[in-house]
Amino acid sequence: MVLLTAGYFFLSITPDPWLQRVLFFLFGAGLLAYLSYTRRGRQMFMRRIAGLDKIDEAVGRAVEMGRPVFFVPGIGWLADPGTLTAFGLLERAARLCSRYDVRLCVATASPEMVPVMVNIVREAYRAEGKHESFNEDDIRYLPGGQFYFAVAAMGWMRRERIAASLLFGSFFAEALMLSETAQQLGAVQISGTEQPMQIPFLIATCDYVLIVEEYLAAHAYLMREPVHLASIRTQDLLKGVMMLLMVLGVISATLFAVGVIDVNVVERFLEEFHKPLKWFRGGS
Amino acid sequence: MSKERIIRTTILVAGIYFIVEFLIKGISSGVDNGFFKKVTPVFTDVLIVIGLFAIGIGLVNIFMLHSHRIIRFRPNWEHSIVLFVGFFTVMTFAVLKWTGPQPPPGQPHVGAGNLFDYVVTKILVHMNSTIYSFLAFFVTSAALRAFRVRGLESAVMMVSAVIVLSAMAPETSFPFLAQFREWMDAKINTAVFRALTFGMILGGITVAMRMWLGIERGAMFEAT
Repeated sequence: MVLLTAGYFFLSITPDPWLQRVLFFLFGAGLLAYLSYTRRGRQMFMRRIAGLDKIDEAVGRAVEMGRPVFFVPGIGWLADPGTLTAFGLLERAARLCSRYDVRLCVATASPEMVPVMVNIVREAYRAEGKHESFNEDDIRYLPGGQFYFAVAAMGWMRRERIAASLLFGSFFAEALMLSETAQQLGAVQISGTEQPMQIPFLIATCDYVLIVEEYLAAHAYLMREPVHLASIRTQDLLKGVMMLLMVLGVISATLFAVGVIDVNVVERFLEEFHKPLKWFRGGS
Repeated sequence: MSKERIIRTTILVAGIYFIVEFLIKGISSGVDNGFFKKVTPVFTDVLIVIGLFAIGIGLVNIFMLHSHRIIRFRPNWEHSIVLFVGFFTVMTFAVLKWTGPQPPPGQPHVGAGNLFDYVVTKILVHMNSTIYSFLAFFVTSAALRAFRVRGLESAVMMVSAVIVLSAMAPETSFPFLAQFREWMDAKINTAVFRALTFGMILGGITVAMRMWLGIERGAMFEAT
């Protein structure tokens, strides 16, 4: 409550757009609340995400076929949420591959990702006690930009005749090229991206697709620690608030338009909420 | 201080800086006009320098991989030679361009200086376009597979696709299809896309918050 009040007064001195700052403070308050809830030992439910459970099966298939697993962490920037999530999934894939002695091929279009991924895969192998099996040459930077990367990765997939393809991260037009190539090779494919435009292409070509939110929750799903679950629950809470506002907004606007009510209630509420903020700033 | 602690502290401090900058940006108190306008470019420069180091690391990765392949005559070692030849040729052309006589503004380079532009505009651009055009074939083969009616969902997808394709045809004999396509695009597609975008934004905030507050776990932080 104190945080919310402080946040509200802080918002009063900040300029538009104010909604971003409201979300920021709501998230902070929600996270703290859920953290204290989980630290009291209470359990939180998280629904099953089939695509993530199938990563084990995809690696198992690679074991049976004696062929590698192929991993691409997207072509986004290092600090993209999608890329950071992909790193968590890379760790999971690397642990499974080292445990079952399957070769893991990792391709990236960004040079800055190379040391991070080498670190992640090496640590995963070390954690499984297979440090000697780690081969740095299997983590490759394929330069030249989006389409040159796609062509180089497609060639690598075909030469190795991969058994499983894990495409996680920020993908753009090259997503279809990579996934269709793996499909033609008969590989099991699990993909996930936070880019809505690429979802239809991945659904058309992959066996399992993590759609936007599912994908961004993937690392929390695998870790299952209270802090991760608290952050996911806070995300759901915010989404619930926004959905409620939208539904009420639609109802209010419709009733106002057909003349049932004299005032658009939701619009008025948001104006009233915003008014003190403007007043504190001495603005219009 | 352990490496993990250094990483987490750096992320926290940098996060605090950029969040404070974001929150008070635009206030007419002079804070953002003075302090942040001076300090933020320094952060940006640091990021550029780190990015340049990363490119160096990427080059080292390529050189190690392909030189080992050539030395040990691993499969496809000939491809690695082509890579090195291409790399050093284009690099030489770039050096010739930037160290040679510079033409007047707006005029193309001549002689050896023109070689780099030739490689870019006459070879690389066309190769890029060619690769991009592959997408048409990939889309077709993926669509053929996706449009097989195996259940209710794929049936809905197939019917929608037929309507959209028919409506997009230049000489469609069903004008109402164009209206139906517009309705699907404006109402159904836009609504779904916005819902996904909401999820993307909230999920992004969640990942960023976990990273910033240091509650993210994993091998990325546990390196020794």
